[in-house]
Amino acid sequence: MSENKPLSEQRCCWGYGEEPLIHCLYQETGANMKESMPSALAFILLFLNISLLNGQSPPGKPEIYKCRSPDKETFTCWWNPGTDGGLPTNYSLTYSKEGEKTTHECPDYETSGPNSCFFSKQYTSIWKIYVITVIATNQMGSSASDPLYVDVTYIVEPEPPRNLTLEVKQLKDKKTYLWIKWSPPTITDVKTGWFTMEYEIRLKSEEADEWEVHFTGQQTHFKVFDLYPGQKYIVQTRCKPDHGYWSRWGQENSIEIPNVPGPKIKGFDTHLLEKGKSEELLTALGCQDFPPTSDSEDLLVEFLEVDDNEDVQLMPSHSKEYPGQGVKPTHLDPDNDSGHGSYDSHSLLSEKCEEPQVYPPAFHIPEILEKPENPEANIPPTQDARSSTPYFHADVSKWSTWPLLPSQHMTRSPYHSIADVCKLAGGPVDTLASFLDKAGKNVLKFSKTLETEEEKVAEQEKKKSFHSETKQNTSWPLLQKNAPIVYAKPPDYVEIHKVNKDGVLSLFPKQKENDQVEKPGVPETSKEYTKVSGVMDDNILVLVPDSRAENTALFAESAKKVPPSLEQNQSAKDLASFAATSNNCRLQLGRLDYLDPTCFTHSFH
Amino acid sequence: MQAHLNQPCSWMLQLLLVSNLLLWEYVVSLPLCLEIEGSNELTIEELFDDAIGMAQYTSNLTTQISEEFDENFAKSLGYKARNSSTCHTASLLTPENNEQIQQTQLDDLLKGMISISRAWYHPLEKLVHEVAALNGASETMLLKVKEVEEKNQELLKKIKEILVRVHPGAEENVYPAWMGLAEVRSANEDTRHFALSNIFRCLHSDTDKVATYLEIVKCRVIHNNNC
Repeated sequence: MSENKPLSEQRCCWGYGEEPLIHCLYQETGANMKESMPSALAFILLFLNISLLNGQSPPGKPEIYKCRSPDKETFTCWWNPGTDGGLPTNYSLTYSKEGEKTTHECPDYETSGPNSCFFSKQYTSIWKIYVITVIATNQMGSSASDPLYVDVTYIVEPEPPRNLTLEVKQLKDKKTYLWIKWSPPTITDVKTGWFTMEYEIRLKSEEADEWEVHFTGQQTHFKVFDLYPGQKYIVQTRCKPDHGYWSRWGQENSIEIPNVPGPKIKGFDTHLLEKGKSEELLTALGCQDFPPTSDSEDLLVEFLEVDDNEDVQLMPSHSKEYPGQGVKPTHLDPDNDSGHGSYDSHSLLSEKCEEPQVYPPAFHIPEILEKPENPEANIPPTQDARSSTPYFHADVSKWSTWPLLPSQHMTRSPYHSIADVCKLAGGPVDTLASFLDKAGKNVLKFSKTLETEEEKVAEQEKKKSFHSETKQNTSWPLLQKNAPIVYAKPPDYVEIHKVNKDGVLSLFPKQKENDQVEKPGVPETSKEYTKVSGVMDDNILVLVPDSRAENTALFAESAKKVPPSLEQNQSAKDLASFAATSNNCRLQLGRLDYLDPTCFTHSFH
Repeated sequence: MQAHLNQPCSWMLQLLLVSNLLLWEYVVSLPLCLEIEGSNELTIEELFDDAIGMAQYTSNLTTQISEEFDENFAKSLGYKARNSSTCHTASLLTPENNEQIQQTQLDDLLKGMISISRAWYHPLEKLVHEVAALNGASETMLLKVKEVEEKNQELLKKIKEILVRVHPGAEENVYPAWMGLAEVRSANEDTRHFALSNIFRCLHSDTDKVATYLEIVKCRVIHNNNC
């Protein structure tokens, strides 16, 4: 009889019950001594079968799943028990060290909790491999885990650093920074050089979602610059030995960056610019009531403003996108120095481009913005003779207002189209003056700020041209299309005189209400001021000066309030636009088109 | 035809380029000072920093060598299980836990490091040959072993200088010879692989030991145990 034959194959063992098998076995054992071994084996197997039927078995194989050292001087290993076979099971951990033939048992099963073994200092060596095995034993048998090879140097996972302190400090130049300091975790011996620790910190503002992580090497301090004042920041640290695991992130600490009163330039926070929220930006600038509410539309009627003084003013144009719609009572603070900055167009512009044509992609707002002080001030003032042209310096696509030229008095509308302002930025006065003289076909545009809806198309066009940050080199489509824009000039208003048979709107300068010194060259006689050269986008008239009025009379005229006459004229409401720039202008100034209002001013005197 | 003629040349050129690139990849910009007669010009702190940098660099390389070798040639953990695997430097009886180290004299630590470094001087020369002859060893492994050999020699000089500064006139200890060459050259591939695995592991432990000792000695000498 083969020893390996299953019991069921024994002669008389057909049944599955216990009795018949036992009977068979007895019979077998009684029969022949030589056959006792297989019988014994069968008996053992029977016994095991019985146990299985009872649900008892030797333990399953345990598994050592983790060994860690917090300080490179002690370590702990933990194991998973595996099945216990339904019987009380004992676990024992044995180990041997590299180079030693002897096997030892775990010195401490308690300290690190259940199913663990703790090796204290005297049992821990580094630079030696430990071979560790766990054996599970129960009544039925035992089972050994796979051996684990452990080098204590590589299983170090420290506690997180402690004593995290935060402090806001200042450099000599008033720049503030966050000074972060911490200490290594207590149980690691860093002082003697036994332990080399590396650190990381992470911080974020309270509302932010993502952490900013910085590796700090072996130093236990760090400086963080460029944090936003008024915000609360949360900081955490963690550490890692040179060959080991990162600790968990330590206790959080938070601090609020105090608001540092900065210089009172009425500029704006570049962060606002980045956010692209023009409302905030304008609020920062001190513009009140901006954008204008709907009821302001009444006030928006006259948008060409009369300006007593000789400053050249820009014609603001508005678009829906520009918060500056318009016009509402924003008051300019004549004494406000904001925006005075460096009006030197050369410096700004030349930074970006070599030609004076620069249209720097970024608005340099602080230097130019001002609040309008007069609700009706739609025309941006020109600057004083001494200041140079305004320019922008901002990310145009995000910016919806534009700088104004500062001026001592007046109404200024802070909202021009970028085009307008761009137009202001300009080349030398002489150049402008000269081409103005040459201006054959001058198209002057007065865009109606108020009629924002209608304007928007024009504005959008203008704006589109600015949306790209690389706009510097593209000529403005507006200009290309003889599109309207800006520009500066004496605050002349025109009124629609009549519509002649050709469908041409004749516009005449409105007579000044008070006897002002008339600008030189203002023709007293009325003249067909402009002639419609085309219609753009259904609601914008492009007007060109009539041949009779070709010369610089355009500039020479003083603009007056348009209101009543324009109001009366429905068609007039549809924006009478004059594009002021001539092709000559464009050429002379390079690729970008803008006019220096000062040149106009000069040319008038 | 021309392609054939050029092949060896271009192959050599490529090998040169690749080996250069690989070397550069592993070279850390250590503040290595030229070995000039008047090395006294370096401050003791600079000497330490140089040595520590070099020791850590070497230790990193040996980790990589050991891991790569085990991965490619000695995957079976059974290799590590054999208790007969001791390191030839074990006889130096250098301290192996923090307590023991804190109780060891500065001199002894430095001498211990010098002995370790000397004990690897010749074995590393042999290892370079063996790895070069090893079937299936990558180019990078060979380059790393060569780099370790070089750096070990430089490190030895630096530690000797430090000893001279710290304790002028100190004599070095003897160092153990390596007797494992026979096993590394065994006809039996398994024996060979086991021997190499063992030796790379020992090399790694010892370079790590030297790096740690240097940091401890530096903290003791320069910062008075207040690093």
